[in-house]
Amino acid sequence: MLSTIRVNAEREGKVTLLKESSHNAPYKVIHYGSRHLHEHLELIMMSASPGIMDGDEIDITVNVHEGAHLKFFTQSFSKLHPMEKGAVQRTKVQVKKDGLYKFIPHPVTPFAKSIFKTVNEIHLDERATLIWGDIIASGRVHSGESFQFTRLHSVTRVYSNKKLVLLDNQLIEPGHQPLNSILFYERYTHQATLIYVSPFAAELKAELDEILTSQYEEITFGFTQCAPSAVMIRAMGNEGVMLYDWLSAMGQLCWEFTMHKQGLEEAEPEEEEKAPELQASEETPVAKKQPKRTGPKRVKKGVTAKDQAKELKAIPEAPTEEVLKEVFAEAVIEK
Amino acid sequence: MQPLLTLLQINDSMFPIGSFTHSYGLESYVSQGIVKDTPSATVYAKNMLRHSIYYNDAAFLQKAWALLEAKKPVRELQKLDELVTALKVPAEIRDASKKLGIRFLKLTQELRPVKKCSDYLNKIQEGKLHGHYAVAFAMYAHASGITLKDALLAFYYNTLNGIVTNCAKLVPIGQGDAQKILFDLQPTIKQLVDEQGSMEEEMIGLCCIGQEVRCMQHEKQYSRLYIS
Repeated sequence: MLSTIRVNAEREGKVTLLKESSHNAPYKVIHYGSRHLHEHLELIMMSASPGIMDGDEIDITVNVHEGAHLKFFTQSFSKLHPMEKGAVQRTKVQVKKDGLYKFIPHPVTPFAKSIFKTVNEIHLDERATLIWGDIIASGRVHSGESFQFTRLHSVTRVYSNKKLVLLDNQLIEPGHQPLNSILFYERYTHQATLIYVSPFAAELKAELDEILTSQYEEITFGFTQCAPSAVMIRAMGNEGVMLYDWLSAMGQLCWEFTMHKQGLEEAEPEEEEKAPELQASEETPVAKKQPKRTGPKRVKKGVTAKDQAKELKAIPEAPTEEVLKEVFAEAVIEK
Repeated sequence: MQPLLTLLQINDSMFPIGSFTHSYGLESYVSQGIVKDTPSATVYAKNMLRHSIYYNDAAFLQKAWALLEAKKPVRELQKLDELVTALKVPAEIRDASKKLGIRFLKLTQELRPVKKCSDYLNKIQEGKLHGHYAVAFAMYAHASGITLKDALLAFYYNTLNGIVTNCAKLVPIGQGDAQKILFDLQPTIKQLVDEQGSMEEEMIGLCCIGQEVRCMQHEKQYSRLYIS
């Protein structure tokens, strides 16, 4: 089955709006929560299907226009069902000048005998920023289905000003690779990657050097400047949710860092507006509220990503029920 | 000029381009106790050849060679140079390839100048190209009358030689054990060289997640003997 999802985010004044979007069954793209809560745009991709089936083809096109800011969320883990032919997902992203796009989907869980190819082609204009994540599980681990899938090939190409800056080519083929062995998953069950491509990449890297100074017990990670304008974090762990929460927290840090560098600080939503979302869990740390501000662009001086990281612990970003149940990744895994 | 002698010389682990200063992530593996004895060193060496070198440096060498054989225009080489840079994600690994590349080009130019190599070197020095060791090696070997098969065999051999030498120093494993790994992987090298030409385009540059994480972690390793 062929599905297409198209999203256009355009900036009008200070606000990013959804324009000309389209989708077909089983997919749906809607605003994530109230659209009036923030100046940037938050969308969520939902699916009425239990997952990706044999023969499925999914085409996703995302255009983030000049100065637009988009956070695109997924609803749940992407489940790849048993297949004979395989399924394909093609994603094309274009981020124009000063645009900001964040996409950190839930983990991909390949069931036994699934075959999947995903190709992401991302074009960034001058001064555009990309925050892009992906997490690949070894399968339904608790059902004893680790590395029972046939083949999963994920290719991500990022171009900046039409020049290739980053190519992540990952093929996972349990029949042909010793996936539990050295060089591969090394007995972990999940891998995660976060890519930050931005004119502020070198500065973010310097902040990460200060923040990410020790390893966690549950996950192992590394980060590097993979090009003058790109930083990559890679991690391996044993829990999809934990990696997802950690990657989302890092992604949010990248988002806030970029906003800060662009000289923009978004108005925080009013307390009463955000409150219903947080009622799902009593344990969730209460977000730090600030009165809604509607002045001109503000430049917050002296704020470092380190401060942002501290704040992160207290501000779950657009919390889903899952996230709320798990509380916050850093709180769990930080020792 | 003797092709075989030239190959032996430029491929020697003592050829002074600095290859002995790199462990390509092995130092992280050893410090974390993952590569810790002869059996784990053997697994590491075999996986490196079959799942990393085969899809990366050896594939880049092969691709550069194919461009040279087909007398493709310079922009094709430029595309390959960009591709290699984009694929080498961990900064230390990318820098290693660049440093070895430029030293290899400088040194071989002193032995016997090759126009293509000096053009490549000039473009690197002008900042127009990044410059990578596997590509530079292919260029000089191609111009020296060496066959592709011999160049690849030698390239794999010396890469493996570097791995086992580093294992002998770092793990440490016995010199005899190191030589045994080197010898026992001959059939693997032969097989990889035989299959190298039939690699599909989309397989070039496949990455191994664990290795990438360890290479990135090396940047933060407190005590280090190697640059990568």
